[in-house]
Amino acid sequence: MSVPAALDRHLRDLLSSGQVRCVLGPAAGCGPRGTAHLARTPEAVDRFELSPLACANVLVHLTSEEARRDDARRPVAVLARPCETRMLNQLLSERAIERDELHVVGLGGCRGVIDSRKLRERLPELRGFPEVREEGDTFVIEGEGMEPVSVPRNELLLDRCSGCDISEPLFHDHTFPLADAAPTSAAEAECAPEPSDEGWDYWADQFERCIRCYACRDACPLCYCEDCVLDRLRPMWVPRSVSLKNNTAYQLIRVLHLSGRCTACGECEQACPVDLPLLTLARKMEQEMRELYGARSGFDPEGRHPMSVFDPNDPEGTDFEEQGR
Amino acid sequence: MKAVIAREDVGRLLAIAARRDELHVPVLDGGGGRFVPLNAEDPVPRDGLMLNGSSARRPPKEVLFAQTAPLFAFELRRGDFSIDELPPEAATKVLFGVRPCDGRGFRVLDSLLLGKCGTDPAYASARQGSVLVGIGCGRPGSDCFCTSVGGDPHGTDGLDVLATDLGDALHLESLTDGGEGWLRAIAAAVDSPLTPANPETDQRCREAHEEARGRVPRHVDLEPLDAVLERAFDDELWDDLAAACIGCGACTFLCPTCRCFDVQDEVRGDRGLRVRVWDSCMFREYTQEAGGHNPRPRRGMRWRNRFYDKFRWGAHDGQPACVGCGRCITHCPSGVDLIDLVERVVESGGAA
Repeated sequence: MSVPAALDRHLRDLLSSGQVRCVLGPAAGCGPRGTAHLARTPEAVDRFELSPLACANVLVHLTSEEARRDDARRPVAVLARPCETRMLNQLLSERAIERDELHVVGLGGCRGVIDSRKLRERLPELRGFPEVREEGDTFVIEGEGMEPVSVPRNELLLDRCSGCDISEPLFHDHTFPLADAAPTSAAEAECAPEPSDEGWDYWADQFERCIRCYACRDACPLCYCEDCVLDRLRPMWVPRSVSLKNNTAYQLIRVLHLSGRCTACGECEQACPVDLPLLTLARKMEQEMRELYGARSGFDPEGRHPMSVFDPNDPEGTDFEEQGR
Repeated sequence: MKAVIAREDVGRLLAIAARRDELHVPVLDGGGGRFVPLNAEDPVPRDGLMLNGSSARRPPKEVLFAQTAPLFAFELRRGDFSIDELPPEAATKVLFGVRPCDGRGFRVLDSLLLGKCGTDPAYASARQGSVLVGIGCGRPGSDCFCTSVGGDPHGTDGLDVLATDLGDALHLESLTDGGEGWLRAIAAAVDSPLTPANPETDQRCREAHEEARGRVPRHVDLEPLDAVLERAFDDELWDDLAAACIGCGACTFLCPTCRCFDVQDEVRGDRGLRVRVWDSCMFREYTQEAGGHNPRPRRGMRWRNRFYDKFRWGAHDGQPACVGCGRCITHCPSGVDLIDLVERVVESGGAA
């Protein structure tokens, strides 16, 4: 499986006509995790892959240091699932990218993607990047030298997908349905972040395991600062020593810098090589922003960040009249 | 010396080992597993001990080459500056359950940290007298390719003792003087669960080795690589190869042979600590100079550095500095495949 014929043609036309300078999208990986692919020529379009397994950090390449180096003004075409158009909206609202630098090829009828780690755990004998078919409420996985295996969808879906309520792109220049699967309303039960009863002890156990590889930050499309506070040596805001104290400082600074911006895409958790439950943190923060400020990131490309606007009715704001000023 | 121990007695063996030395064993930790100290009075974790199945995601490198190693403390007292040396590691460290690839990894660490360029005191004191008890890989992981880089699922290079999983028992064989001494001491303990090996267990051992070799899932031909690397340094291909990389340090921090470090002073008020912390050539500020010059400003150049280290500069005794454990492939957040990259470099043939 690569991409449907009509989409394939569209992408080739975009490249051969020179309308876009490259196409960014998902591709098959070596194992059951996808990878990002940047096609600069019509021939390179062959490598794109829309399987629900191919979903590894694509958008981060729009704002990475390497992308910034590319100063050509022609737009980049992006193959974006619905939740990724939400992230694009957020990037547009922050003016991290400009609308005329983007050509959004929306992928409609998204029913969610597979968590490669859940798949690996379910089928440890799996080798290479398997074929995946969607049949009703099951994924049919066909690996190298393996009989096809049917696994219920909810056992493999990424956590972010099971609570997702957007199945169509929020905006696009062109849109194509994903494979032939009939789009369904993806509105399954709203899944609140799992509260952790153990509270602080739970997070101390998690952060103690952090190896400070910075994968969570580097996989985040919204962590695009050229000069990150976490890299600073003079002054060294967060000491490089790995300890519960410093790891906690690292994670909390990272998460708080995303408050009101994070779309809970979960790339941080997917990237973590030691399985820290970082999406839980992200979702908790998203929920707080919603409850405190009624703010939901990524739904308005003109939206202002709740931390950067002044509202006299801010529930946490100072009551000036009461203070007699 | 060769000995056999019933699988259900492994806990007793570990209890004896923990009484003698500072023992480290691989356990599941919610993040794919790592080596942790096991005290004599601790219960041996039954389900969490990672002796069969997959290897610990974090290699045992960190036991002897800590991610954070304090070097000395300093303090400013009434205008006087004092330095407190930190006492060297005293206890002998025994690592039980080291995979053969990780055992070979210590050879690579030794070649730098105990090498002709000088000795790293923190590493040397931790490494002094250490005993690496290996366990063969009956079931190699999904991206293992040790046999392509000169290793074997039951390779002995770098280990002091090799254990082979016979199903209901482990077969132990000492490989060095240090390993012989350790195994004899365990056998001499009053409650030792070790029994002598016999021709039948030797035979089963050989069969297990043969079988495991056939189960290594991935292969790559390194033979043509060196000649290509000879001329590929200035090639444009490195930026293309690094295109999907997000520039984090997961590959280098999970690598059993990456050994770059940084030295930092962590100061608070009048007191401070000089620490040696792991560094990663995948980080943007790696080896950036004080004046701001960055010798590797592009991600492709940093990738090239890692690649050359693994397959050319870091090579010693005719073997690459990559031991084929597959961790950097399996756990790469962006799906970058080192084997695919080797093949693409070879295919490129280097700069014309």
